[in-house]
Amino acid sequence: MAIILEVKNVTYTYPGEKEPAIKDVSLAVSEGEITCIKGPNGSGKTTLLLVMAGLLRPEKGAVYYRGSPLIDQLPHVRSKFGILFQNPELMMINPTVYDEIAYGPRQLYDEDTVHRKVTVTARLLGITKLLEKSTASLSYGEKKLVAIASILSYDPEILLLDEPFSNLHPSKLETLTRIIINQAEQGKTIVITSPGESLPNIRCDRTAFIEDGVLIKYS
Amino acid sequence: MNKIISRFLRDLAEIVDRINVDGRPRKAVVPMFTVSVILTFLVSIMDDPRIWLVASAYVIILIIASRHMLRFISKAILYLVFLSVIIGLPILVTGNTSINSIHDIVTVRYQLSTGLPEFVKFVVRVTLAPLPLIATLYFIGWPNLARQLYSVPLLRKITALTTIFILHLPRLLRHTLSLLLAREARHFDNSLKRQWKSLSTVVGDLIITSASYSRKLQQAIEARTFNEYPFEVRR
Repeated sequence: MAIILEVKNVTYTYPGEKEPAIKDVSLAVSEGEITCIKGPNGSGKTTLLLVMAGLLRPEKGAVYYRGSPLIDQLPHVRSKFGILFQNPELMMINPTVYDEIAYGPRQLYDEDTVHRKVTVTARLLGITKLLEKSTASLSYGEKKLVAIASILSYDPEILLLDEPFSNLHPSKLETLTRIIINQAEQGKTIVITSPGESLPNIRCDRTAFIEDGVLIKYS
Repeated sequence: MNKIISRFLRDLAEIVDRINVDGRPRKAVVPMFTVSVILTFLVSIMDDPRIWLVASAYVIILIIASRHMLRFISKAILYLVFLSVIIGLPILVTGNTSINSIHDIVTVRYQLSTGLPEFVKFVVRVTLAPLPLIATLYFIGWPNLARQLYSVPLLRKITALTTIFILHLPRLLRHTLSLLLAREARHFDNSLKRQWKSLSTVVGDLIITSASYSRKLQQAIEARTFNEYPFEVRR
């Protein structure tokens, strides 16, 4: 399958830090595949994901989206990427759940289409009853589902999920696993980070192991 | 001292959270908000007890109309009284004389007789002024008010920014609380010196945490913003 996203010899150091968070990392993500990035806490998984999404600009190397440098294509291709942050609270920036899910689509479609997208996505995730609620009143698990709904609603090509299963109640874990599998079946390209060895019921087409910012294995 | 600050942070986070929680659509949001702003403005600038009575009556009506507001509003009153008493203490000795410079402090003819009434007036005004606005916000909920404010093009940007501020402020307050508790957990004596040390070092940590939190928040917004921030909600 065609390579959709490619990371070439990327190094990134956070401002004020001496050691780079990721060092000379290279990997290629093919269209429609599930790529799992595994490694202990602080190994650089989140940094790599942020670089892949174009949210951090690498000091060395580059990220390519469909063969062209990603940085040159932003912000036009931003809607092709859906990034789920590890802490879903960071993604809550609107007064109600409805507006949170509508945030992305509102920039792309007319209000009728936005309404349809919001209701369909909410139904898919089983959060229809939360739509009128304030985003501040949700539990952690509900926030995670709302956060994933807020990216699925604008139908991105690539899903970048940062530790989606961390701190989740088993019932929410099941819902999220079902959604991810469903998205993979629809041909979405998915990149998932995980601190552990295994991911619940998710088959990784490729797995990258990262430690101390260095990619030690990619298969 | 740590306990007072911890309590204050916890209560402030709760107050901001409660304002933000209720998203059920309510009627008469705009008239209620307008009345509360007018009352807040009038109480702030006028010394008229009739205005104070009207503002108090408005707050009492809202307390009666809302089942859980009494506990919440009592906390807000307690903190407002506490802060206004501290700020207003000099009025006890200066009375209604205005002090504009160091020279005035030395030469002022201290008026203890007028000091107490002036002090009481100050405390009542400072405490009462924000109450109509706080009670209204609690009653209608920020999501409802935001929905209305978004319909005014000039207010969209400030409403969006206020929403983000209201949503994320309690998290930073609770984080500060955790920092304080983590320090307190390893203090085996209760000396003032130790308390001061833990309080003063929290400030540095808080600045670093806030900067890191803001950066992540900015990335989270940027990740779903394709051209420019839409500044729009469902009305």
